Amino acid sequence: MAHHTKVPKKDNRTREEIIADWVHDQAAEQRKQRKARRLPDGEATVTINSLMDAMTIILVFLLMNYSADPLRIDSSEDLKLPASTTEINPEPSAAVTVTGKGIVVNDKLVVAVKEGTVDKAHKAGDETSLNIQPLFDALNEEATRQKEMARLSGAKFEGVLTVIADENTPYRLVTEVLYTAGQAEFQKFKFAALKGAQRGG
Amino acid sequence: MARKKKNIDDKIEDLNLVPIMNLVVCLIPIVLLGTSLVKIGVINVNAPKFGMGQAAPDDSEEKPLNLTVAVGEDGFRITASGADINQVLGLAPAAEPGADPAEPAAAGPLIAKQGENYDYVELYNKLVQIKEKFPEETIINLTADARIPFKVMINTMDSIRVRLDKDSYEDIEGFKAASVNYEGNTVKLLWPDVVFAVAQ
Repeated sequence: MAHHTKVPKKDNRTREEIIADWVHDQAAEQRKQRKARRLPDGEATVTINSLMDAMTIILVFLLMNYSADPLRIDSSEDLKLPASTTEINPEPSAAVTVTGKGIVVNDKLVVAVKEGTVDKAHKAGDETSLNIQPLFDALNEEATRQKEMARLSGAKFEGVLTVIADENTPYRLVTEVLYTAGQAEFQKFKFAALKGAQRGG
Repeated sequence: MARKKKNIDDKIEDLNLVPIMNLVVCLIPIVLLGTSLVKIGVINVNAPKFGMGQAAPDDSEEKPLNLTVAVGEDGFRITASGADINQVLGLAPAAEPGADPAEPAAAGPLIAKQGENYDYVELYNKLVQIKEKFPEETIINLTADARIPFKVMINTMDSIRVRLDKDSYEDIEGFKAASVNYEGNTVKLLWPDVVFAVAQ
C-alpha cells in the first residue's frame, strides 16, 4: 500500500526523506511478496533451526551419558539398591543380580528366590549347602568365557564379579551367592550401592 | 533481469526439519527416562572364607589378628582370633579356665542396638581403638546372622572401611556429619579389606 504512494504525503519532506521512504516501501513490498511466495496455502512455519541445534546437542549428550555408564540398574519393587557412602565407581564386569524374586546372571534368570531363600532342590548337596547349582552353572560358563577371552587377549583372568543385590536380601542368601561365585573362580566382589548416603544408615 | 534471477534463488526452500524434530522430541524423553539419575558406586569385598577361626590369608610370619565383626539381631560383636576383643586390647582379664560356658568369652562384648538402629558410632570408635593397637592389620572379617538384611551389611562396611576426622564420636549426628580423613590425596583407611565370612 505504501508502495503506491508515489505522490509525497507532505511537500515539506526533503529529498533525502523521500528517497528513504521509497527504499523503505520497496523493502516492505519485497518482504510481502517473498512471504506470499513461500507460503502458498496459508501454511505456517516456525523458525526451528535454533531449537533443532539445542535438541541435537541434548540428544548427543544424553546418548553419551547413556553409553558411558558401565553399570545400569533399573530399580523396581524387588530390586532396591542399598545406599552407601562409597566413592568407588563401577567398572565393566560380569554381574549377578539378586532380587526379591530371583537371581539373574547377565540378564538371564537362573534361579527363583522365594522369601529370601533359594529352594533347596536347587542346592548341591543337603539343605545347609551354600552352593546354588543353577547359579554355579551360569557363573562357571561366564568364567570360562572370560578366561578364554583373557587367554586370547593375553590378559589375566581377574575374576571380578559385580553383585547387585536388593537391600533386604538376607545375609544367608548373599553368602550363598558369594560362595557359589567363589566355586566358579570369581575372587573379587563389588557390591553395587547407590552413592551419596549418610554414614550410619 | 536481476529481479528474475532473485526469484529463482528464492525458490530454493529450506530443509523440512519437521519430521526430524518429531523424532528428536520423541527420543529425548525416552533417553531421559533410560538414564538413571542416581549415581551407582561399588564396594570392594574379598572372596568369602567359610567357617570361623581359620587364619586369614596373610604372608607375614606373625599371627594375624583375625579381627571379626559379627552382626546379630541385637547388635555387633567384635572378636579377634576367636577371643573377646577386650582381652586382646588388654581391657579385660583373660578368660578364666572353666568359666561359665553359657556365656562364652569368644562371643565378644555386645555393641547393642540403639532402639531400632545399629550403633555404628560405637562400632567405629571401638575399631579405631583396635587399629591404634594393630596399625599394620587391614583385614577384617564380617559375618552376620542369616536373616540380617544386606543394607545393614553395607552400612556396617561404610562405618569400618575409612577413617574419619575424629577417632571417636559421641553421637550419631556427629558421626553422620563427619568427613573422611585424607592423607594428602588418599583416603586414610581403617579396615579396608573386608572379607565376608559365614559361621557354619
